[in-house]
Amino acid sequence: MKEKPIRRMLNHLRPGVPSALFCTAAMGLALLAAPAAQGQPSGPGVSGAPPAGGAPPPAVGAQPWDIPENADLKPPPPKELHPGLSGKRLLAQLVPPLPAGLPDPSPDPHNLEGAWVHDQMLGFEFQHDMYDNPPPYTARGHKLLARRVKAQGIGKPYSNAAALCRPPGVLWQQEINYPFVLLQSKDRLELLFQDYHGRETIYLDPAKAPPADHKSYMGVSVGHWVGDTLVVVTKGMKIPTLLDAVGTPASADAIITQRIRKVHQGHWFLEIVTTIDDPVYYTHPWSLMQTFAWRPDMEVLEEYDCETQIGDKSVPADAGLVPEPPEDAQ
Amino acid sequence: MRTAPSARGLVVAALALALLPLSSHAASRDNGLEGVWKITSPRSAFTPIDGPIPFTAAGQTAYEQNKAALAKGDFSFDRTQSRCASPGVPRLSLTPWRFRIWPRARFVVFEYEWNRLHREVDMTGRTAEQPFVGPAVGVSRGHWEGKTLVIKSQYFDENTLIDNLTPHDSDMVVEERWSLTGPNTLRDQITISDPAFFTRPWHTQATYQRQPDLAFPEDVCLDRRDAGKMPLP
Repeated sequence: MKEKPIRRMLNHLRPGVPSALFCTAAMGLALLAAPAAQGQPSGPGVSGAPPAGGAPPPAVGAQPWDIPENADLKPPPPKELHPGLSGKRLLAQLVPPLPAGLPDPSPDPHNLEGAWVHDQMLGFEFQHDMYDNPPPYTARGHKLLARRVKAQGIGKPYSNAAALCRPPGVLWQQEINYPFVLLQSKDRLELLFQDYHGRETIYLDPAKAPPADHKSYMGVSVGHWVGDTLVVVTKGMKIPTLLDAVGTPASADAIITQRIRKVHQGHWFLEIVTTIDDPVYYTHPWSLMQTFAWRPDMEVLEEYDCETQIGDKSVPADAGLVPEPPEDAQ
Repeated sequence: MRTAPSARGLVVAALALALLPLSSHAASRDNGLEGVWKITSPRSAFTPIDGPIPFTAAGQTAYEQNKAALAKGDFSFDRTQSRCASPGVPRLSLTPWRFRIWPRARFVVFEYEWNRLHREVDMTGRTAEQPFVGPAVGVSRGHWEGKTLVIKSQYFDENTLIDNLTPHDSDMVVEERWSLTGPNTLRDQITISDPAFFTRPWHTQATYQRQPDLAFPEDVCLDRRDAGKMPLP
């Protein structure tokens, strides 16, 4: 079966892009942009060989929409772009084996307290649902993601909330391979993230949640227990969000449902099944599954004070990224 | 009618305690500190309780420079007011908004309403190691002395301030003693040591009132700043 263009482009980028995706979002996108900024080859034709699809490499200063829709992005060279930045190596550095002698989490399945970290390679996990099918993009969603992938391919990744030191949304925040501490009181859970000193509040008492018309970067999350699974519905985002560092889109009206449970299969982890319901960019709701390892050795989070750089008005605040043009820009 | 506990009951209770699972939170104790708090008297500077701040010559010079800049409306010396950067320790204790203390067996979290900041204190007894870059909150180790939470923080970023004007060096050491002075009143007794900027350790304190245990709204300091408001009101 013939691969769809967007899928093909992602597959071609797969070997090289994870180096950026294992860094925080802004750092990652900046890494992708770095070769171009340094005058080094990047994106299509990075290996020096002609592009496989026959399309010429984009001219210097090219914009993503300058690349023909049917252009094939040249796969990166088979070796790692940088020996220290391979996806697996970075993941091993960020999430090394759990040291012995540390306590287990509470045996109470309704007590999720403690430190957890996403323990899967970021890669392009959002390009597959939990059944390994591609996300059901609408034409608009397909076009938007294609444009973002192209922007990365030519070394001009778009800016985003995370790069501007704003809360990046629940899924991006959870996805990065840095830990978060989960705390519980009788009527809410707090997820305190190392990255972006982020916070997600999950209200167990809907009466204490902000009103339905309240908008925020992270949206409003309300949860309830179904057996031993915490079902959390997040909506009310004030801006469209990215589901991941690739740019998988979600509109501000998206409804994110997460089913969270604590599992022990040789080791403790949180299993989170996320369903994205967003008719703007997807033809029907779709789901993916992620795992988050129990990490009591990471419960004292490292400081992430991005305002020190981004808040400095004497330096560019775009972290080297390009403002994303409106969706209808051609 | 009050009755003496039976021997069988005591044995059952003892067994139940022995069977408590080892978990990260099972042995937590909060000594009344868990909850949401807000400073009693909002202010921008700490007041020493043992005489004026004992500046060294270098400390006095840096302080006067900050004071002169502030008088001109120049906040470049203050990364919190100019960039929304973390106020750090101990200045976080002066934020005028609420914070929540989450005491747990292996760590204590201070979660601030201001700009979504949070600070984790290691309670495991591990030795503090100097990081490559000093954090605004330093490296904190805590323990309980009776019902008082004692936190020693060191290895700071020297670019933060103790309050709105008072500078410090990277060798500053801050000891905090958090304890209840009433069921709904909390006190933080602070000792600041920094031989480069102060001739001796000096002491200050702040008090807080318990607040309803409600979640904090999402505060984005950079958005407030860009809208023309001061990062720290």
